[in-house]
Amino acid sequence: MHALAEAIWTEQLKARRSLVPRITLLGLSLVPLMVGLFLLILKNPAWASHFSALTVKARASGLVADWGGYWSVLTQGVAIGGFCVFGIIVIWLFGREFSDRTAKDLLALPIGRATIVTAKLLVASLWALGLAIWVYGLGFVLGALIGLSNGTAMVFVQATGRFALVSGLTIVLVLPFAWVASAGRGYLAPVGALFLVVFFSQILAALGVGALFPWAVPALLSGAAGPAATTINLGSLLLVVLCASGGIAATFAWWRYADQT
Amino acid sequence: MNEAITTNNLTKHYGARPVVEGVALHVQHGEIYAFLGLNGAGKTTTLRMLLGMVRPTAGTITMLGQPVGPETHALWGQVGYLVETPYAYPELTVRENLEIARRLHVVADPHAVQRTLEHVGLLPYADRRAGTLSLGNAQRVGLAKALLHSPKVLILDEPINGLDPAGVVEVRELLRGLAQAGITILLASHLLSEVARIATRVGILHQGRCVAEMDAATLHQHRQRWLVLDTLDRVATRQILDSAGILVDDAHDDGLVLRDAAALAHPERIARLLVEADQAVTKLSILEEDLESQFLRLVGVTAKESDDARTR
Repeated sequence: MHALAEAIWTEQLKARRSLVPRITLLGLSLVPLMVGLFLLILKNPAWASHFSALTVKARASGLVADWGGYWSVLTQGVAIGGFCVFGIIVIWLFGREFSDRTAKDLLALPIGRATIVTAKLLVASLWALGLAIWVYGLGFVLGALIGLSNGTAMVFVQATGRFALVSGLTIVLVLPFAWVASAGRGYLAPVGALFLVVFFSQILAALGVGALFPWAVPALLSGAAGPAATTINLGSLLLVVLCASGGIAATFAWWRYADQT
Repeated sequence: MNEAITTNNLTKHYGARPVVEGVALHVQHGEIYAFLGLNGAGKTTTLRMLLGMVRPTAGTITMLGQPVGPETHALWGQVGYLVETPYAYPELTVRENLEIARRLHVVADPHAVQRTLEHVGLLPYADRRAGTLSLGNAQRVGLAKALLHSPKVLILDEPINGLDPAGVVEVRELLRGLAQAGITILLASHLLSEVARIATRVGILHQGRCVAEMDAATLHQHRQRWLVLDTLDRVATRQILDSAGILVDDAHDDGLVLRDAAALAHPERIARLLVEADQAVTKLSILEEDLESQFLRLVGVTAKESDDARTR
């Protein structure tokens, strides 16, 4: 346990000294800020007439200017934007060791490679969780400032539950990119894989078979493919769990067995 | 058991390509054992196998009495290493990089970082970002990380790469001091003269095989020597030497070359012989094979093949 605590400490120091936490915070904050701005425009058409282009975009988005619509869009933002940002966190935590050529310093240590991998995965999960909580909090404050209507307890409970489920699934689904970053020894392969996964999620969801593709499941649950697709069966959730645990197991196995040349 | 590192039939193949073939190492405690080899000889792969980074295709490794394998974590608390060019987290300071090394080696003493900074001469750079360091100082950071946890065995790949002459002397003295304190050092290098100065034993690796192993004194003794002699009349000199039973091996612009053991042992007798025969001796010197030539002779390659290997 002490070894894991030490490994987590080193990961947080590396993260704190880099720009990545600030970039991810800024990147994900754009979701509630943009949604908030659109809602502000929709609620105040007279004021928004100064920003004609934005007004057109806000009207075209089909946003409903109440708490239910707001949370729905925020949840979709976490499912899609969050997936990319959380993915970048995992890719950076693992890929930087190969890009900076520091991985070899992590291979023959008394605390063991599994502890290093565990620490990185934990830091990535907690970092992503922190960002999700930040988006939730910021979204709540912005919604209150805008003065959205229909803020019943039922709406909040349902929205919070869906937001938490989508965030949790999104976080576990980015963890397999740790394996791609490790086996690919850097950033290029996992970033490519991330784009591919986003691309296939869109295509498969549009074809109506998104529930069979684990990485499309959070976006479907969030309502990104329409309200009709938000009901996900247990099989899809099982696929998500299998995919995430398979990716995590592959990461541990790679660090344990692969030749580090 | 007095061996710090033992390998038995250590072999690594990548597919059908053999990289290391049946290497048997026996490194004694407190010894500075140097691996010499051309680029691609298998030095780094061997070191990586010793550190559990690369799995051997065959063979066994024992270090400090423990078998080396994927689960031998505790062993690495007693082993320091520097493999190839050292790198550090560029946005972290030197001190922070060492603090990370201290924590990952579970060193309880928080003063270990400061002590190591002083030990390797990095104190003036302690609060500089590692990414801004010169190659020589980056090398020192690598050495500092290897030494921070006071290891019993040090495995170093090209430890003086990039160091300036003063740094080379410093590291040489540092390694000698560590060996005197009982630390076993295994290093790989292509800087032959440097290795010859500090190693107590040398293993020569060529095309993945250990082709020769000897202590430093034997290495020196095995260096070829020859006597170069010149006079105003080479033809007459040659006849005089022939009639005295001394074989002239070669002749070139510098003079006549003699490899005769007696002539090498007593060059003054050659001089006396020629002077008594009224020959004016203009040159008489004993030359010694340089380390590079000796190395290439031992591995059985020509200088051209060596150049080809370097450019591959």
